[in-house]
Amino acid sequence: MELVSERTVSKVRRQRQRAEFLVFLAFVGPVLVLYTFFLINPLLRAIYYSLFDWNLHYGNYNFFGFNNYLNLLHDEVFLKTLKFNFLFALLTVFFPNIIALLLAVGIESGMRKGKNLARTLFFMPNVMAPLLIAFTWLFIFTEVFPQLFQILGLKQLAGMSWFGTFPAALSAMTIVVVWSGTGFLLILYIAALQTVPEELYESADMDGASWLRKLASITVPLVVPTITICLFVSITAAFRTFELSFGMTRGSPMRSTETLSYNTFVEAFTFSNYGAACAKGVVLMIITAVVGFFQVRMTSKREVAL
Amino acid sequence: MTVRRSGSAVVVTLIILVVAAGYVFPFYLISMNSFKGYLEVITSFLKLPQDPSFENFARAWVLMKLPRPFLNTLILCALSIGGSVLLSAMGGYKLERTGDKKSRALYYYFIFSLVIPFFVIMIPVMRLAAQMRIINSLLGLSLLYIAFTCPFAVFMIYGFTKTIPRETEDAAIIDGCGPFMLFFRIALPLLQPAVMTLVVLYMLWIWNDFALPYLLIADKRLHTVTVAAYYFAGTQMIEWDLIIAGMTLITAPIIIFYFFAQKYIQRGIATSGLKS
Repeated sequence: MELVSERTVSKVRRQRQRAEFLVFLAFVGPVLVLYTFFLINPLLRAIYYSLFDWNLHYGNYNFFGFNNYLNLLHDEVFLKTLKFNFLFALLTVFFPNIIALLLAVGIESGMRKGKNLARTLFFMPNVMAPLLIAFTWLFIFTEVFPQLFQILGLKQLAGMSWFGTFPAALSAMTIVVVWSGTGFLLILYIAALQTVPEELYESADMDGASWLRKLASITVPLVVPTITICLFVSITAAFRTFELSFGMTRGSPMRSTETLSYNTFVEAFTFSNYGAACAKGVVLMIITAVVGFFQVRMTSKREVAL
Repeated sequence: MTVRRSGSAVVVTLIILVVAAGYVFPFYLISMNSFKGYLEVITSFLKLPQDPSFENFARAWVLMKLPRPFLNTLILCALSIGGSVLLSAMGGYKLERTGDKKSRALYYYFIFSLVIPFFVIMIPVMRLAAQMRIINSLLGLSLLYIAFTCPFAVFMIYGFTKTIPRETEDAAIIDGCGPFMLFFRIALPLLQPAVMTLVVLYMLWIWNDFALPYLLIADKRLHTVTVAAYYFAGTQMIEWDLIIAGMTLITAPIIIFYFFAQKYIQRGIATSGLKS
């Protein structure tokens, strides 16, 4: 009697577990399959292809070991690209973050009216397609700036070619990122500033602290977690940049302003070196993964509370 | 840190509005100059058009074969976002509510790829698409977008589900509510803020994305807006008046969308801290 009922209980339990598993599968299965097949699968394949000497134009496809990677060490354009991309990352981390933080402090603490309007306007460039941003600024650098500097009487600036020398092209790209990337950081900084308790400033006021002192001693220390996040956001963005090279500088002068993403693209579609392009992609992945690892760790600690 | 004296508040406000005007200036440049002829553009870019004409818009409209690219992009957005958000919501919600070791491991399996740039997987994706015969197909492209957008969606939904108390769901289970009804009738409405944020962010992402549709759609009739703009600009590279008119046409809808949806965009960014 007892035995039977125990068996029935365990049978019922097993059935229920199976039913629960089927429900789990129905919920998680579809997205898991699509994700694995269309994202993880290509990712593994990219690593696999990077071990092959594979050129679409010549039609060769032979096992190559790590030679694609070793060749990168002697690839002058690639080394130039790496150097450029780190320099570009440095500039596009520094300027947009400083500007965004100062604007955020100004908007949050100095404005009585128009806070929302300011935020809306600064974020607008983020809404434009990166390719069209590149074209818009190509127009500005080649048509508008020469006229503008002519009007202002700055003959030297008016006559300069923005994509003719490396420093000029690098500055041009940085200017575009200052325009297009600040608004995103600004929103993060404003959200962080809103969490700073007002009492801290009040007691600082009573002690007669200056504006700068309050910024350095209260505001900045309390928004450090957000600053960290913003730095990581900017760094990964710098290595993902593609359209700015593709649509504006085309790498000029002399392939010196190619980002890693664009360089990978050129390797694949100009030179048809699919194996080498995959190896470059893997290097790109390692760089962004190291940065991104810290980014996800920082952000996943913050609870999502809309 | 509110400024007490109203004098300095005015100064700060003025400075910020001047800088903001600088940020809006490029939009003014491309939209205003679209109404001018080429000569007027290259000689006086600042002034309002002397004799505003819609000719550039009309020519750009015809050359980009609008409104077809608008329609294609909207179809692509609907398929991708609908699929991604629904499937990710189901997956992310179930992973959080199950909450055992395996579910957590799966969650991390989903989000680790958040950091992978598209150009890493570009070549395998093209080959896979060729093998699966989904080149030149908006439906096929949307399958790829679902795969590329689901990590962030699972991340958002998982995090948001955590903040929803289980009581309502428990009560519904006692009332005999099945797992699907529980999700669609009770959980999904509660997840709505996260879902809205995802829909809006993905709308911007897919509308503005270039590399993927550029590589996978060769058929002119299926071009998305950015790809249409690229080919259009590529053939006209000197006639700036025409190009900027085309860019204005393509950007205007998404700007209008932004003004209506900005609440969700800003909230989504502020809470997640991740760029989609």
